[in-house]
Amino acid sequence: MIAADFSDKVLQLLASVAETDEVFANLDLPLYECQVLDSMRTVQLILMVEEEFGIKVSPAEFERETWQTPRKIIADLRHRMSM
Amino acid sequence: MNLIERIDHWAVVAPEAIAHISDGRTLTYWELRSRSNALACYLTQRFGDDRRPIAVLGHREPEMLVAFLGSVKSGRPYVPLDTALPQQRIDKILATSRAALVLTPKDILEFSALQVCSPAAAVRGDEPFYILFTSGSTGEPKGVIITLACLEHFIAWMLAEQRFTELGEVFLNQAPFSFDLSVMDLYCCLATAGSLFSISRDLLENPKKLYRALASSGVTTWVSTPSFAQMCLVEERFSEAMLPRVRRFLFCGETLAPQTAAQLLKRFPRAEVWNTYGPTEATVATTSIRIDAGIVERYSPLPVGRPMPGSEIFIVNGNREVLAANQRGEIIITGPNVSPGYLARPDLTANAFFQHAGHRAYRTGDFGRFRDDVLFFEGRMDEQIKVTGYRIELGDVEANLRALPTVRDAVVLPVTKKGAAQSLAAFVLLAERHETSDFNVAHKLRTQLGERLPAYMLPRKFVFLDAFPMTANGKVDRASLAKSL
Repeated sequence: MIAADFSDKVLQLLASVAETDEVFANLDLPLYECQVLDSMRTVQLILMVEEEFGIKVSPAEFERETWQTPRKIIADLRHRMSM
Repeated sequence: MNLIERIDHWAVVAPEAIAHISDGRTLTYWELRSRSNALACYLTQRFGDDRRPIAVLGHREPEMLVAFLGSVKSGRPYVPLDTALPQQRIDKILATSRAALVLTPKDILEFSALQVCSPAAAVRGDEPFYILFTSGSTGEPKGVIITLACLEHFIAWMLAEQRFTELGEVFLNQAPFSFDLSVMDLYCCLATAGSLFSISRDLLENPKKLYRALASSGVTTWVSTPSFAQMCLVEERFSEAMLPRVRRFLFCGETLAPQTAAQLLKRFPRAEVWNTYGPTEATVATTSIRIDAGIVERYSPLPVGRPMPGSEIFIVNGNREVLAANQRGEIIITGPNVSPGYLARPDLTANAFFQHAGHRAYRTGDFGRFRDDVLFFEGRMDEQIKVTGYRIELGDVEANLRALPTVRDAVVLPVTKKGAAQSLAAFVLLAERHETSDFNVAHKLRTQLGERLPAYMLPRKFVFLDAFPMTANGKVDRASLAKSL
């Protein structure tokens, strides 16, 4: 999978969970601070990520800091893909 | 023994037993009794015959329990308020409730450390025990009065049906005290000398901490909204291995999905799953049913059960004629668990409450029907919805949006997925516009609205329009707006 495709797909999932397209426009949007993401939505995103990429993220090991912005989510998931 | 005496007697039987655990702080039954007595004496001395309600503003602190009992022991109902509520909402509630005092955990600590005496004039039978404020369709929150007798009727039923082990239970407290689901765990716990294990905001926001806390909680009776359990289930380790002592899951506040029940039964093979149903106006829950594998297989949606002994449910049509089984109509609840009405709102009370065969009765505004002798909930007749268990009047959100200076008009609709409301969407006509991007305008509106309404009532999605689509008879076409979502 080429890099841009992966980022786009991640952003699409994020946008659908967050119900805003702003995540495409601003990769440094502070997701939790702006209340775009909360616990419930994070868990929804975790489920979608597993379905889409087969990446398992354990909520019990999840820290908000790693998914603070769209850019950080992409980086974290890319890292998990490569593991 | 009435409920208050029953709670107090544990201070003698088991003074060191833990009544409440919250963020590492604990409260024993001895402390609960002596501090609530001291607070009751303070309130009696300060306010004398003035029996106006006491507002209690906090989060999950052990002082909250001291204040609830202290108020009722002094003969005054309490109004529980969570610190997550914005100041304007709190102000409206305080104005409507004419609360004599607002107690914060700091005040409670101070006033409950004073001399201990034996308060004499506790709340009795038909006197208000708590007043719980819920969303009102015109933008004004309305206060549901629950008497000691209402609460006792509800608790007696829960205790008889669930057979909690006295001095042996740990109850999960997920709902804020300002939400009546918490009444189920709080008073079932205190009546049986259990320990109430509170999930604070800090835990909710940090899944890692949340699961660690759950694993060490020793919870035996899980009380939450279905949404919360659904969220927890995403973690694969959320199972009997993490919570080995869980014996029952009690759900209320929203529709329990068959998938959630099925997953729980699989992961917790030794636990029972119970579905319950009831509005705040009839004291937390009126019907219940144990959901086993057979019921999950047979029904979708799941039934909500049969009414508690002493209470009755019937289904009526638009002419208020009672309908036979299998027919859909409005759910009417009658019995001693039904509230006497809304505080200081005789107009709203007269619309929703009436007398039936010597008991109070409440028109729920919920659609339902009996099938196979059990009740099924089939949605709302009006614009009240539930998002993750929180009851919201769409009109409440609309009225508060329209009150913002840049908003000319607004329509709020639920965003639904698989038939359940997931969040709110606001369609807004702006009076003026300074910001450039829709996101910035929406963010600003959400922030302003957040000063007036609790977070769970804030629309996630904002759509800006120049005009609303109209129906043939000149009303806003809500159906076509809903379709655009």
